[in-house]
Amino acid sequence: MNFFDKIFLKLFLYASPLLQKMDVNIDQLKAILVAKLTMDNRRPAAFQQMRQSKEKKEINSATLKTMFVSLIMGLFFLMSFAIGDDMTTKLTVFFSMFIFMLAATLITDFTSVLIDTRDNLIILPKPVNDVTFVTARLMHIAIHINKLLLPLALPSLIALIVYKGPVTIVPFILMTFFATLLSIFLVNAVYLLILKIVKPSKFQSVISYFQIIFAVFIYGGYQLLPRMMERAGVEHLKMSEIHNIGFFPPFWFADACNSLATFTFSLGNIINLFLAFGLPVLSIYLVVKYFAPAFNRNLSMISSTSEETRVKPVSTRNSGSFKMSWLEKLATRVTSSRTEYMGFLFTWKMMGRSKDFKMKVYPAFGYMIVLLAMMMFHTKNRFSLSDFSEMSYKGKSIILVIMYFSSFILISAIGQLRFSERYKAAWLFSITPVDTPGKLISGALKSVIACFYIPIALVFSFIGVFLIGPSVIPNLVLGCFNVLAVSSLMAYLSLRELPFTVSPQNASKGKTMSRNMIATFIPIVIGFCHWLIFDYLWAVALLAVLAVIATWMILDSIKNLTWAKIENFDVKG
Amino acid sequence: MEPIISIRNLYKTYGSKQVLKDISIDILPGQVIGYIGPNGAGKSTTVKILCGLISDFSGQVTIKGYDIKQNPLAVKSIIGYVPEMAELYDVLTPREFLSLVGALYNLPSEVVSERGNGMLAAFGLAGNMDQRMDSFSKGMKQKVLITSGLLHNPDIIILDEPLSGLDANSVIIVKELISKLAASGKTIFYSSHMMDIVEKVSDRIILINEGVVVADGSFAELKQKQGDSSLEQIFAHLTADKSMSEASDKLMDIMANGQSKNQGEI
Repeated sequence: MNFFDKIFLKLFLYASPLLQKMDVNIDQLKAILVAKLTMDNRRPAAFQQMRQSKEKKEINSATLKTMFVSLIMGLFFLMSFAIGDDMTTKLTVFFSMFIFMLAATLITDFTSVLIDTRDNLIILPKPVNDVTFVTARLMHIAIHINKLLLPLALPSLIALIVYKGPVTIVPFILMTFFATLLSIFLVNAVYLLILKIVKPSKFQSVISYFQIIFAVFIYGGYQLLPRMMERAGVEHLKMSEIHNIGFFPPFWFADACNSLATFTFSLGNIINLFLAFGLPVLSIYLVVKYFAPAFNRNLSMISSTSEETRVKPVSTRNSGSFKMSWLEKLATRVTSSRTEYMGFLFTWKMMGRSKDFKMKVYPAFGYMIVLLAMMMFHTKNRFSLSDFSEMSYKGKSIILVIMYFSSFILISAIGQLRFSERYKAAWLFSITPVDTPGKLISGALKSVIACFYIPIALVFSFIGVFLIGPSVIPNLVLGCFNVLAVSSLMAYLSLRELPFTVSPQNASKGKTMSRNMIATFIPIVIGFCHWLIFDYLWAVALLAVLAVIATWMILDSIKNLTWAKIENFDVKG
Repeated sequence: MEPIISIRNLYKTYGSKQVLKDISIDILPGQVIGYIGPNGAGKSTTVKILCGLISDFSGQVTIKGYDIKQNPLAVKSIIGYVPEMAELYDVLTPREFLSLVGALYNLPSEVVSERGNGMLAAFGLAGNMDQRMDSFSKGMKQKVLITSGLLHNPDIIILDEPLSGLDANSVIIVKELISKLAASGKTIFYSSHMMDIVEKVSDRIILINEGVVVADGSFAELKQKQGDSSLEQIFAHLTADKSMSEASDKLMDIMANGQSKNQGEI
């Protein structure tokens, strides 16, 4: 525990007399909190997880680092003070961002902080009552949030003091507190809703999709919001004039804060004050009193169902007759040996079923959508479909940008291909008589291409041919095979391990960084060259043929990689 | 003697699947129960019900006179549970972990540190008290878990595969510990797959299959009834639908005859 943890714990335990009345065992509560806070401090913070170094250093101050990141976010919130004329409007924007950030962070923090399924085996068999357990969990969340919240709200508080004077301090802190309570309730409600809809065993994967959406949303928000604001003329927006704004919780907090700071109490102000104070308190009461028992029951199901229900035997498609699935048919088409075929199928199945892989690669799709949206904002005048059919400057650029940007998805998938939490299962490859491991790698690479590139390429090719006509086909072929050649070359140069055989802990940042730099740079350069020759059809056609040959040659050399070229992987038991 | 654990007409379903069907068992204080059964037989479910982790079952479970549904906390305070697979918060040190567990059992901190230190030292972990457990081997973690389950000197000890990952010497320590605990009047509920150890440590063996008790008695009694020589054979006899040697014959056969088919290109 660090300085902040101790302070928070002390502050929270001032509520002990009240909690005791609610049947909370204070000693147990304190013990759980101390253990949980100590663990938080030793857990890599979200941004640290990405750059784990090879030597396993003990993590000691994750908390302080998380707080620093929050501070940067908090500075970004200052943007809200540029919106609207009146205080209520500015604060509504602030509270919207604030509640969104907190609720989203909490949902994504779920696995490490909020729900630790080990609690089922460690805490629940001990004589701890439900209220104590839930209070401990809520307080843990509250302390965790406070560590995010302070740096998040501090820049805005300072801005407010400068802007409006110290009279705003107390109302702002008060309202931030109540907005936080509401965020906690929101997260709880979302969890219970998910648990109602999906099977507990699927819970974790639903949450990971949330995480992906959240990451894309944040990225998109930070990229697009400032641009959208420039256009919409939000400087003179007035929240209170918006119809039905009264149903929008951030508005209550903003209005309540403003009316407390300015001592104006109209009927509308009083209603908002009442809502801002009452609703969070009521919702937290509901969480502790009614949601908690259901929550705990469901919680124990999250971890138990997987082991308890015996997998029912299903009559398998392959028993007896050897009818091939479409995937197996595809695999036979694109691979030339049995080893490569297995590499293809193995990779395909692992990609579709491993959570870590999806978590790392799927956001790339979202980022691409955001990039596309950004392009739309950048083109000053609205473009029309005639831009495409007439092959204007703009039409050309958009087609090329889409084509070359889609390589990022492919490259990020290739970059993740070697990693797996189950890397120890790699003993399989070293005990079986695989003569050329390159076949496995090329099978894996083809699988990635088939899964992450071909569908996108087909979609934009169809759209391109539909909008422009068949004359664009040589350009499409050149673009697609340039992307394939570059990605295969990257794979040839960087994939020196068999698929899914390296611990994610061994991802060294330096290597990833340099690869990402190249990955961004090369397609852009090639795309630009392509743009220059776009209209010279004979050159495009010739280069397209060369690109096809290059792709084929690179894939072939990957196939011939020998064991001597493969980095030894650790097979420790 | 009054039974310390009494299970009456216990049923438990997961969705449409019936996991436990009318289980009734009485266990006397000081007994060492070997609770065995194939995967999915309902062993873990029974253990979780006894520990108060699952409460939506039908039937009656009384432990030392407390109904587990009415009085889960009283029951939990007299049970020591050692889960399988070394589940613990491994970024904590053993000292930190044990003080958490001690507080949850409402033990004074002096008692926790005194007992914790002593027990871990007996397991040979005295020098590891202040190291984070993420670097520990499975056996070391298991020793910490066993310590945490015995810390509050419980009347009933529920062990779920407690020997998994332990080295030979530690296995001996735990086996001896079990008999000494039983001799001092503790009741032990030992759920396991390892027949040879169950055969040796338990004085009563309960075999369940598909949620039903199929055998209950001392090893000698079971041997007499079934006419088999080892617990392994009794187990196979009662739980498998065909003989094991028939299955292994079949395996051998497929391997030999399937060979020509599978010699394709690799």
